[in-house]
Amino acid sequence: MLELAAAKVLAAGICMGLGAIGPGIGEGIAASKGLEAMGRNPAISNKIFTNMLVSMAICESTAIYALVLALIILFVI
Amino acid sequence: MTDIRLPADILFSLGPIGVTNGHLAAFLMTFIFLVIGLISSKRFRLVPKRLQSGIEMLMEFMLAQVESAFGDKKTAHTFFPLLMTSLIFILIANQFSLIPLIGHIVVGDTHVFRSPTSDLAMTIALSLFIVGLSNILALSIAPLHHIGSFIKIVPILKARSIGALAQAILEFFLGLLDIISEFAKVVSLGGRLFGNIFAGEVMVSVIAGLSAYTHFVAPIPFLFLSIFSGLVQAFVFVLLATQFIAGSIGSAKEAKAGVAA
Repeated sequence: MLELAAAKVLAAGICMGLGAIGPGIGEGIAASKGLEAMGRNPAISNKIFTNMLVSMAICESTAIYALVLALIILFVI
Repeated sequence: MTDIRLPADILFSLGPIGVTNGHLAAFLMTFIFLVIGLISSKRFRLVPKRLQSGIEMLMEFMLAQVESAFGDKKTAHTFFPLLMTSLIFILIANQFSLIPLIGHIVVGDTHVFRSPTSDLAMTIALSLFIVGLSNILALSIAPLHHIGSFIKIVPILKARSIGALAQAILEFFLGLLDIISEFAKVVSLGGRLFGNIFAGEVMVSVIAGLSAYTHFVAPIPFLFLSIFSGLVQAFVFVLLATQFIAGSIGSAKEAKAGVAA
C-alpha cells in the first residue's frame, strides 16, 4: 500500500490543514469584534487592542496543537 | 529534510540526569541576567535612568495584572515574584535564537546551545509546576471543598426529586471530566508556548535551507513573526498562570471563609 514516509507526509499535511480552519475563523471573529469596539470607543483603543491581541493568541492554541502533532508525525515517528 | 530535532540532545550525564543543550542555554541565560540584576541593583536611584525605568515599567505592568486577578493585595504580593520571574525567564528564553554566535557552536553533530523553550520538556515542566501549585495550594487551604468540586457526591445525596437526581448524576460526570480538564490545562499551557517557539525555529531553518540565496534576506519576515509571537506567548503564558492560581486560591479561600462564618 503506502510506504511509511509517504504516509507520514500525507498525515502531517492533512493534520495541519484541517487544524488551521477553525482557529482562522475564530480569530477573524475576535478581531472583527475588537475592531468594532475600537471604532465605537476610540478613547480606550489601547486597552482594547492589548486584550484583543491576547485573546487572539489564545484562540490560536488549537492550531498550535495541530502543528505540534504534525511536527511529531514528521520528525519523531 | 534539514536537521530538525524535536527532543533536545543530551550532552552529558550527571548520574541519572542527562543535561541537554536546552539546559545549558537556560543556565547560561539565568547566570547572565542574575549578574546583570545584581550589578544594576546596586545602582538604583530615586530618579531612574534607562535600564531601571525599563525594568520598573515591566514590573508595574505585571503588578497591575496580578493585583486585578487576585483582588487582594497581600496574596498578589505573595505570588508576584514567582510570576514575574517566569515572565522574565520566558521572555528572554523565547528570543534566545536572536543572540548572534551562540547558536552555532557545534560539537561533532550536536549544537551546544538551544533555545530553552523550544524543548517540550521545559514548557511542560513549567506548566506542570503552575497547575500543580494551584491544585496543591487549594488542597492545603480547603481540602474537602476542592475534592468536592471534582467528585460531586453531595448533590446526589441531597436530591429530592427525579429531575434533581438526574441533574445531580449529570453533574457528577461533569465533575469527573474536570479532572481530565486539569491535565488538559497542563498540556495546553505547555504545548502553546512550545509550538509557537519551535515552529518559529523550524520556519527559519527551512527557509534558510532552501538554497544558498535565501540565507540572508528571505528569513527576515519570519524572524519578525517569531520575535512578535515570542513576546505575545510569554505574556499569555504568565497571564493564564495568574488566572489559574488566582482562580483556585480564590474559590478555596471563599469556601474556607464560608465554612468558618
